[in-house]
Amino acid sequence: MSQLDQMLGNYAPPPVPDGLAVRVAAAAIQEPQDRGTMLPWRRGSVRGGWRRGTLIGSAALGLAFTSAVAAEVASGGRIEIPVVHQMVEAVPILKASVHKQKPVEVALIERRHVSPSRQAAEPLPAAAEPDQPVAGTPRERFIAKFTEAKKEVAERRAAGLPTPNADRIERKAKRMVERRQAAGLPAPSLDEAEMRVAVREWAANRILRRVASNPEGLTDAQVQRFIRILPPKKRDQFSALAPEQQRQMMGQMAQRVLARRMQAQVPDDAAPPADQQAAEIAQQPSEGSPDQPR
Amino acid sequence: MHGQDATADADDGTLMQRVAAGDARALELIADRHTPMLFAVAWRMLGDAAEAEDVVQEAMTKAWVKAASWTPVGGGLGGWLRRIATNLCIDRQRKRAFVSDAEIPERADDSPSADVLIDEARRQAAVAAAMQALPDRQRAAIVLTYYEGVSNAEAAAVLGIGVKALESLLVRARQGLSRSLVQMGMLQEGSAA
Repeated sequence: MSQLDQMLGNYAPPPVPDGLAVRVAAAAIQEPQDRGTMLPWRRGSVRGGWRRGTLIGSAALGLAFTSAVAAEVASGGRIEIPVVHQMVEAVPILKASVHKQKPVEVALIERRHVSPSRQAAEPLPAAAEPDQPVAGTPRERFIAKFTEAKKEVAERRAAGLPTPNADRIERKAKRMVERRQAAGLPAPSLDEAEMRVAVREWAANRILRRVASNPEGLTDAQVQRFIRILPPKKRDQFSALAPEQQRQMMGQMAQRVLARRMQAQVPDDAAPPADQQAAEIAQQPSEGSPDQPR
Repeated sequence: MHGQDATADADDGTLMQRVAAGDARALELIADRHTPMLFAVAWRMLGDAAEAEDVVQEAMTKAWVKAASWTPVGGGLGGWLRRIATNLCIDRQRKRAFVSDAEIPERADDSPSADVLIDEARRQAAVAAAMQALPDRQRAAIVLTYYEGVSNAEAAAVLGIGVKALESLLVRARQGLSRSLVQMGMLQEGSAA
């Protein structure tokens, strides 16, 4: 221990005055005590507390406004919140978002109620055609389906898959064109000839399916329509038969169509799959010229 | 009273909880427990018994008023009170315009007069004068670490400085004390270390 430390040891305090502890305690309790740690919901008076309410209020207001704008934009203008709507109209990008949805919906509604004749007069945009419902007569619907079926046939051929019915119709159409050319008559293109063959067979099948579903309800008009559909050679043969024989033959043909239909389990006569439809057509005795498809 | 005995045995934390609840008896026990330490610190810092009593009074009043916000960390209640007292003393020192090292504070001495005690009294007076001649923070550093036995870290925390700064303060304080005591002829030059 150094000499300095020894001297510092001599620096001792005097004895504590008597009763000092009692006196200081008695004097201290005269003062009011602090409330202590403030509770979280009572911190408004602490430093920065005034900002907290302002921040929470601003955040809530911003959230409410954003939600209102989102609701108006998402509704496509059906919901119009007074003040928010004016602000949305003032902001170009929001305005565009709101009005972008309106015409689409209106157009769809109008299209559902448009008449077939009007729709034919006002063709749809090219891009919208595949998605639009096909309107018009059953014949027009069949033509549209046949066009789609030809695309599928092309895809199957490209993939190396068999397309027997399409091949049959093509052969038929080719023979028709060749016969007309040989006879010096104006010949349609192969595609048009295929279409005529397909339509004629579809119409014959349609009549036969009706006969099959209701053999007793076969009318003379249906018979005459069936005769008109047949190719010239078969038309002459069929016309030469007696009316009872015509009806009997139509009934037999209808039963075969029905049997094939049951076998194939086709639910809708107006919309058979392309290949199956071709199979039905294949059963028709319709060799001949396509010059009179109806 | 059995209840009072149980309270007297309670630790500082329990007593402060009671003080926070407004228990005056608990404050009396705390005052009884810590007043000697606070008085010693204040006296060594200020060199005056009356002012030391005032500092103890103020420290206890703060303990009573701020009891609810006290948390038992660091040096405990003793450390907290010591910090309060030290800061109060520094504040008082700063309010003083000037303290002459020629004025040696009076102190009560109940010991009988004797030639042997005269030299001791002179040494005490010289040390007291040297202590009072030190700057406030140097004196506080010496009081806390040398007399109160507080660790350097805790003393640094009391003074609000780093440990290195406290060690620097202590070195300068010892140099200052040695210089004063040498000038007073109480210490031979070069013997401080």
